[in-house]
Amino acid sequence: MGAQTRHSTLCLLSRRTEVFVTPMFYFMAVLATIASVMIIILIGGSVTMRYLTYTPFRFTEELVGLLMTSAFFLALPLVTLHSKHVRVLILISSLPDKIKPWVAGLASLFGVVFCAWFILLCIPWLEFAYDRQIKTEVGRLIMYPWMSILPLSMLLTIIAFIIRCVSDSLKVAE
Amino acid sequence: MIFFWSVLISGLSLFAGSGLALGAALGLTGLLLLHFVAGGITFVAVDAVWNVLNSFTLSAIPLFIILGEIMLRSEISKKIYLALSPLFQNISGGLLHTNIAVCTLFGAVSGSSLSTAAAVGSVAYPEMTERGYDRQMVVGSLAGGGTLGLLIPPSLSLLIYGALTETSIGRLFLAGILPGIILASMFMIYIYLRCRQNPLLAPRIESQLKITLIIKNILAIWPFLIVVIAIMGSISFGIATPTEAAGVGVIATIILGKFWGSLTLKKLVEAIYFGTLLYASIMFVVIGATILAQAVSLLGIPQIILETVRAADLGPLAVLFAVILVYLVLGCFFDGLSLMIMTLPILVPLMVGLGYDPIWLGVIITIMIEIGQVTPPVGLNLSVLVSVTKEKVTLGEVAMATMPYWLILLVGIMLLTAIPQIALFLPSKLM
Repeated sequence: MGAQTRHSTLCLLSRRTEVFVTPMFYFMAVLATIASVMIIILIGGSVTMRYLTYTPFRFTEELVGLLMTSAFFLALPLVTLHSKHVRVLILISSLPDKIKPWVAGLASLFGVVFCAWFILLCIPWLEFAYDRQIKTEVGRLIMYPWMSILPLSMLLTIIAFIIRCVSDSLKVAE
Repeated sequence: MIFFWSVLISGLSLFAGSGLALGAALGLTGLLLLHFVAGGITFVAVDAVWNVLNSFTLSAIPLFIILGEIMLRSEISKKIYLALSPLFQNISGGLLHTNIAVCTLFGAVSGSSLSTAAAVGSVAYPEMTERGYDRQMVVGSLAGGGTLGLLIPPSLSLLIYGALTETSIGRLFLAGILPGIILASMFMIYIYLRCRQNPLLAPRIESQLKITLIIKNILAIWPFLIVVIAIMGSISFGIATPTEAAGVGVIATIILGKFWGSLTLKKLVEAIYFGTLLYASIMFVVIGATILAQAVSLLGIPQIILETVRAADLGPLAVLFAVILVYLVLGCFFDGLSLMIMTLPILVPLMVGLGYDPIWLGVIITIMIEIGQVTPPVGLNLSVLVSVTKEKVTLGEVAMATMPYWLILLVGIMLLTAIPQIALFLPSKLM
């Protein structure tokens, strides 16, 4: 009974978290879309400037790289929440229905481990960039605000993996 | 070495087998290798990911994905399909040939076989089943034709291959053109022979079609051809880099979609939004594979394998045969791009060391990846087509229907091995 209560509380907590974070994830995905639009405009503008006025933007390559990184990490939590990743489902689809949610839950836990490990690696890397105020070579853009998207996105992706894990365990209970 | 292979195989089997996102499975295995086998140098992973994501060359990936999404949503693919339909009306196989022709054309603007199969499939499948075409034959032609999107430039796999192996992407793109056209022709010959043998597979419309109407229809798709020329011409003649060509291609497609297709602001926003999400799911695989590739490279595995192969004194053809075999097996379990990123650090030094041309190798690997795209259970093209048919055709049925195309792709590899100039002729003449 105790275990059942704990499980219900966990599910409730997970659902409330999902309600809270989903709009945030959508907002981030919209920001990622804006980053994609900016990439298109920047490249189009740069090519035009190069051929029309012979003055291409010096910072195009750097800024496009930073925008592409941002677009990826901003969209990642929503992609994870909706399980839209490329996955190998050969083994899991051949398992009995009762075991499937447990294995899916285990997969989500592995996802949490990967993201947490990545965050731990990001922190000293980000500290180094912040302490030295590292800038891009050509455009002299300060890099740490862009770099900070990595651990932030991974943290939110952990939340997405946990929500998936709990919803999978809910299927077991059902 | 034994410890390395144990961690690699058990890690990949456990994580990927559990249904974890492939990117996380590859990345976690890479981190374990860096931590336990390479002496704890896990810090290199973040730098590797950052460098890959900040690569200007790879910025073409989201752009080509978005380009494909815009084409799909502005119904340009439908327009091209309807324009080319009468062309093959009186030939045995009819619209099945149109599927291949449109996939070939669509492949010339879309970098991915998934977008090609989805774009053409969503138009062709309802139309053809209504006309009484054999469902399995239809999905087979769509799955097979869809693979051409990956070979005919611009191609995501050739792009990633070029970026990771520092091979000229312009030359790689040119190298993909002739093999792509030859494979498309081989697909059409197969369709012709099969439908001649069993006419029930593709009902023929016995009407005399005016040649002027056919020419008029083909000429009507000139705006689309301008986009193809804008993308490929600018890369081939050194006017723009592949990334710039992709950016300009997206802008050209938006204009085309607005004035020639049915693109609205809402559809454009949707295309960019869903294209960005698709890019994120593909790029997660790329970054996971990058971490794994970094671990494999730092541990000197490519060199060890190269030395082992040299010591075994195997001929180049025997090694190529072994590589194809490995790709066929791994293609059953991994999606094409992750397979490529995982194997390139080992494969390219090995094969180039044996005297194979890196441009030719890029084309061969792309065809192997195409085969993986239509090999169950992971074959992504198959899954896309199952959803296009609203699950009226099962994954197994699609896989069986695609088998002949699978074999034709293998024949294509043999042909390219026998006559490497098929791939190398255009790059040597034009660049």
